[in-house]
Amino acid sequence: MSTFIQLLINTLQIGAIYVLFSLGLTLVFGVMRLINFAHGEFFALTAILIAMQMGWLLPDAPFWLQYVVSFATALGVLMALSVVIYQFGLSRFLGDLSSGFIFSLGLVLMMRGLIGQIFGNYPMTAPPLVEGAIYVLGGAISTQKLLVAVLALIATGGLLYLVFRTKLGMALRAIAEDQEAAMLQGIRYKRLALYGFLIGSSLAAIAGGLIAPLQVVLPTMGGELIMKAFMIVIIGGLGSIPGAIVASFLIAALESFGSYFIDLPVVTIGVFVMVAVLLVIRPQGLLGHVVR
Amino acid sequence: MNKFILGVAAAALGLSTQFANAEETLKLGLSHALSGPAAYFGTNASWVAQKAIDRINESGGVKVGDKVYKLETVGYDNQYTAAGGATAAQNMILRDNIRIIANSQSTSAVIATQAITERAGALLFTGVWGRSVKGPEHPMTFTNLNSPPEILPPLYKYVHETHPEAKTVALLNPNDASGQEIAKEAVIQWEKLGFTVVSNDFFERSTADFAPIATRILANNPDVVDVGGTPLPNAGHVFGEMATQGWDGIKIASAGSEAEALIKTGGDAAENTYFGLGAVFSGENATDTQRELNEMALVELKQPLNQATIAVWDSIAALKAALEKAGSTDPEAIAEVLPTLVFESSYGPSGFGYADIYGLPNQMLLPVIISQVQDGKVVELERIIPEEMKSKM
Repeated sequence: MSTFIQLLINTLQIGAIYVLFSLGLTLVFGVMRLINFAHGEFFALTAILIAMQMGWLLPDAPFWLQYVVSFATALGVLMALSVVIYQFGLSRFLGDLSSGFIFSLGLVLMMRGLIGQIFGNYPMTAPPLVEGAIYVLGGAISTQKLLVAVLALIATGGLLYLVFRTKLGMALRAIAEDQEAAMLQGIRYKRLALYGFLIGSSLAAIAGGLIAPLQVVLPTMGGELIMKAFMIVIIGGLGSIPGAIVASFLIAALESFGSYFIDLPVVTIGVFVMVAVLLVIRPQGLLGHVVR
Repeated sequence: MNKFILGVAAAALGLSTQFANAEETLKLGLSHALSGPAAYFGTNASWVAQKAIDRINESGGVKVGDKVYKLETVGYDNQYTAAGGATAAQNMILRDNIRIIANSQSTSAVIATQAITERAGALLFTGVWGRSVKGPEHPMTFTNLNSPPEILPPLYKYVHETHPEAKTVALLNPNDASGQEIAKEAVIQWEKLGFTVVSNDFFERSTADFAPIATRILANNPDVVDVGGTPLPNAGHVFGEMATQGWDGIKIASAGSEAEALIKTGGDAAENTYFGLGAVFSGENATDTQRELNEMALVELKQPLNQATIAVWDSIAALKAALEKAGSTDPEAIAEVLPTLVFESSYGPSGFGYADIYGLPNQMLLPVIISQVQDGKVVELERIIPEEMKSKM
């Protein structure tokens, strides 16, 4: 029983980060019809900025305050960078899947190179914000991871509220559903696309910020996660927010239970096989719509 | 007037000849990871290589027969991959006409490099662990870093003697050539000591969350967990997860060299972890050379050096001694001389040996350093000098 609970807890903590990261990717695709491969670099840059600032910015302040200030600064930098990237790059490729694809791949190479040059390619770490562990029915989770999972779920809840309960969200969904029809209703597509892109980028940044104290921070860390997020988005259905959430926890459960009962490298291969099979039998993903 | 012109011309000729002699350089190749996840490792090693040749050049260069050479490094990014290693080797051998490669990182890159350097008769130094890159089939390959066959027997013996109650061990390694190599050797050495290996797991290097792996390892409740070649920042997370899940056994990071990184990510869970490659170059056991280099690295690289990054210093030191003894820059002549040398490495007097393990005496004889995390700091417990080195000294 305790092992089962532990595996469920592992699923929750892994899935929470996957949800947050992949939601940004699917949201940008839904609104802009563009796969932003640089999403991983936004994630990595935030984590790096936080790891660098911790201990340097406000060195005498408590950890949580250093973290909050570092997080806010990094988020600000990411938002400014996102506006520049959108205005001078992505806005020219809205709805153009192939050109946008090439542009975002170029952006990945450029950002990765620049991040390496500016911050170095050294592994960095951010200290944990809280110590200790919490025990539930024989399973255990570090307080730090629980905090991150809760914050990730709160951020996800915030996004769901924004998308399904606000006018901005309705407009974003309308664009994702039918861009031309939405424009005919007076929705300003380019402005909404910018908002969608900024929300997507901020989700990547929040994921990066939350994961910084949990992982080794490296310029390439986003590249590792982007492939997984891309598979999540495909399994869930490109552009589908509920699909991304379901697929995130599905992959997390496969990793958690699979690596316990089988072997992690085998599970990784299994996920790729699952994506391939799903693309054959249900190309629109679990909760995606068929585009006719 | 003519005599004056002739005199000036002769003087100019003499000067230019002297200038040409002064400019005579010997290029040493470096095949390091300068991009990708291992870039910090390659960048730091390249920095060490530059310091090594700067020191040699400042002290007059290398005297080979009646010529004096200044050393120069030519480095290429091998991206820690086979393809990158092959490209780097082609550039060095075919374009730059280099015949001595002072260091090459990554097992897969080295295997690809050997295919090119061996055809060209070039000399290759590396710190990689794969047994397949060493031995009679690769007489021109020399290794400059202790590897599992040298490290594991004394390290495990030490742990066994310190904790005689321990009987079971779980192994964890990255799922690549290095990880497989260490796991194979670890199983042999643990079983020799009478331990039962209760699990032998591998993980992808891109693994972000180690909670599932920790749960899997702890299912067998091992007395010892040996994370082998797991990068130490990741090993810190592994130990952290295991501590969270209630385990408090004997921890070993047998082949990791970035000991400080384990403390950063593992926190309290890193306490008491044993290392087999975790020298402390700021500690009292370090040599003056190691301490001085490490201090410079802390200023210039903002990083401490470790045994893997300092290895290129030792191959360049060995090369200088071999070039001078051979009186030739011919790679074959150097390879012939290297096993006969006793030279001054960053650890003190060193040589080459271990023919009993590899079939050729091409592995550098370096002390095996056993260290441990104590009160949040890495402390060296012992520097064990190989018996073969003692006999050479």
